[in-house]
Amino acid sequence: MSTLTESDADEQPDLVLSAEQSLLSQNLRRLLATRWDIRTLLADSPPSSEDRKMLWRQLDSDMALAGITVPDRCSGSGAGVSELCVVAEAMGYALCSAPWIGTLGLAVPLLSAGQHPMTDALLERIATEALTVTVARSHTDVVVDHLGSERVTLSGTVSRVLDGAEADCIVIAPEGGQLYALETGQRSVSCSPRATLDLARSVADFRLDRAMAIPMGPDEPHLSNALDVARLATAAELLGVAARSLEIAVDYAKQRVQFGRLIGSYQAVKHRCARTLIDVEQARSLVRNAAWAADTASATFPIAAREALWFTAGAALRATTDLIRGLGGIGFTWEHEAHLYYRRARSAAVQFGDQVSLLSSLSERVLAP
Amino acid sequence: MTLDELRPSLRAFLISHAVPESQAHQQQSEIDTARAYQRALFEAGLAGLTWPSAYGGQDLPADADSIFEEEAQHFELPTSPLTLALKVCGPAVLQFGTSAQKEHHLAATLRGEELWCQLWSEPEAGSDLANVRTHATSTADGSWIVNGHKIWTSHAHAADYAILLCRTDPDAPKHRGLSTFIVDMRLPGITVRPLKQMTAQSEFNEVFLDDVAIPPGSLLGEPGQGWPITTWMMGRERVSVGLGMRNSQTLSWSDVRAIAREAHRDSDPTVRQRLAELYVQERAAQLLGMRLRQEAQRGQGTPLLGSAVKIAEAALIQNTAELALQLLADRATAWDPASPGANRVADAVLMSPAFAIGGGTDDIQLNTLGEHVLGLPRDRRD
Repeated sequence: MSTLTESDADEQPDLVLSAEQSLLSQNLRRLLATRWDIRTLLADSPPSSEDRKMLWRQLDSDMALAGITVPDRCSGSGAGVSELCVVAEAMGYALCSAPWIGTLGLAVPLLSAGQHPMTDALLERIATEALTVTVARSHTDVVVDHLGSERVTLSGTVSRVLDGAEADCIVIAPEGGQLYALETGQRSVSCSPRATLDLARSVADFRLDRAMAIPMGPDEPHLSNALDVARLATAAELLGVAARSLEIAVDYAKQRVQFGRLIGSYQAVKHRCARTLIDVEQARSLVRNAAWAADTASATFPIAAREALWFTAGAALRATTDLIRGLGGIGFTWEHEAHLYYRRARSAAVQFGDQVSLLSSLSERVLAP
Repeated sequence: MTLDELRPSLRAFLISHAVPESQAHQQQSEIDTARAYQRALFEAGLAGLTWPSAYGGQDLPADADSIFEEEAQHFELPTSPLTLALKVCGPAVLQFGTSAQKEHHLAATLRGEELWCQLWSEPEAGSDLANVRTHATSTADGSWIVNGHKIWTSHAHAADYAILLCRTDPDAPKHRGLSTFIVDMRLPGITVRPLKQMTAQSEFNEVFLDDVAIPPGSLLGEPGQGWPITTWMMGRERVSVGLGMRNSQTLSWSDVRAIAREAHRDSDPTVRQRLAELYVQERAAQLLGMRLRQEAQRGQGTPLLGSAVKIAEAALIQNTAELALQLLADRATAWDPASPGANRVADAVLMSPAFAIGGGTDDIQLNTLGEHVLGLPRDRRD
């Protein structure tokens, strides 16, 4: 036998869910079908921030969702990015308004990268109390006053915080700087939810007036990796959005009759649905590949996450537009849930880098000499 | 051989017998090269990894195919003319054939001695393949007499054997009166006439069958089972399509990137954007194909999604050639005939439309996806 054996670089990504991951997906979908009704978003009084936070705690008590990706050392289940993507896809599919992306998509990937006692303590509270945590990125204009090495106060504004209205705690992560954890329940913190295109996810601004915060060590180089995980989680939720949009379009095409025939028998309709299917299945493959790259710590992950998000966001934008077209007038009404998916697709497609920036960033990476 | 031993053997074999992807160039005698390569693969004990050893295979579990794919990804394999034999017709004989048929054909196919083609399409039966009119009549001694006219048959001019789809019961409903046969392409009464393609080459053919006497024992499967066997073969064709569609005449993303550099256009932001889009398109198509093959190896998934890979690959091949053309501009449309490889982009541009037609047009594949994967109602057709 030859001695040519080193082959890690050539190892194929595993693109098929394991039996456990499939079970997680089925169980979560079943749970969401009983605990969450998308139509509440269309009611005169949609779920409040408090309702959404309670829904998250409920889902956590049903399935230990909050700590699923928290490391074992912090009382979590220690699952990987593949499982995060399974959760994100199910959440996108159901368009569940529980504030999962702040905690699972941003905070846990950032906090679990280092091993600081304070970050571990926060992770422990995520896993055991379903504490809702989110991350404020570069949109901050904050002055720090040091009260010794363990405590600081922060003053200023923090803008456009994802899942902000439901957050118990915000991790403030200015690029290249120190991480701070800030509890939002303090009197010195005031939260102003923004009006949002996406009716199922909050974005909030915060005004800090000497608010107490805990420094947690420098964020580099973890922030950029955590943001790549957040990009991939977004891709996975957009995969769920595209898949559900296709399903609604197909169901309608199977029961709507015009000119004496089911409209799904017309190739104009059938081929449009089939093209969405091709998009969805390619997106699924890119998401699985990127999750595999993250879980095997492959150097390809930053590109894999970006290509997955760029493609999947495009797929979701097209699928939700085609859904509304396929439904005709009914698709443009408030009562039909199609616009909720249309809104989510657009909002999520720009939450961690818009399509143009992603493509620029991809071209820098894949065309590097 | 175990799976652990497979990888180093494969790697050593590929390094000495296959052309690294980066140095791949157009083969002059494509079929001879394919046969010689396959023969060497067989002699190295690496052919038919998952086929039974009784028929020349290696009896390895399905993972062996993944290992092969991993090791082969950096090489341009010269096996494209044998793809049908190895990925579709051979497996069909293995699945539906008698033991005599398996003994006769399988090891020989693995040795590269049998090039196969599919006698399927006819002038009046293209997308509507079950409408074939070529018919076989049984005789007293168990042989069959075949008459008909086949068209678009790839490699028929070089093929040793064919799997023939024809009507054996004219009174049965359209899909039930069909049977499949293994046909020796050298039998008297078979005339192959090459069709000149838009590329000016001749890879596909018309085949005329005039009172061809097919010997007893040539029926593949049972009489009347022709349609289910054919759809099974189509499924195989689609799943293997991601591997078999690219050939020396198509371009890859890396080729286009190299062209952009050579043409000094790789700092143009618009060019960079187009290259990045094409990059993701290539990744999406390839990863879908890889995922479906992995699912198939584990007995999961939806084989008919192979139609999605085929459509995605066909669009990718076309877009890749189109971008290469734009980057090379008028150097791609007029070249020095004495300069080797100068016609590469023109060839790719001309070859590209074939992929959206051969093996079932995009329009038909979209129907398959709509009806058989999404469960949408059938269009009005008989």
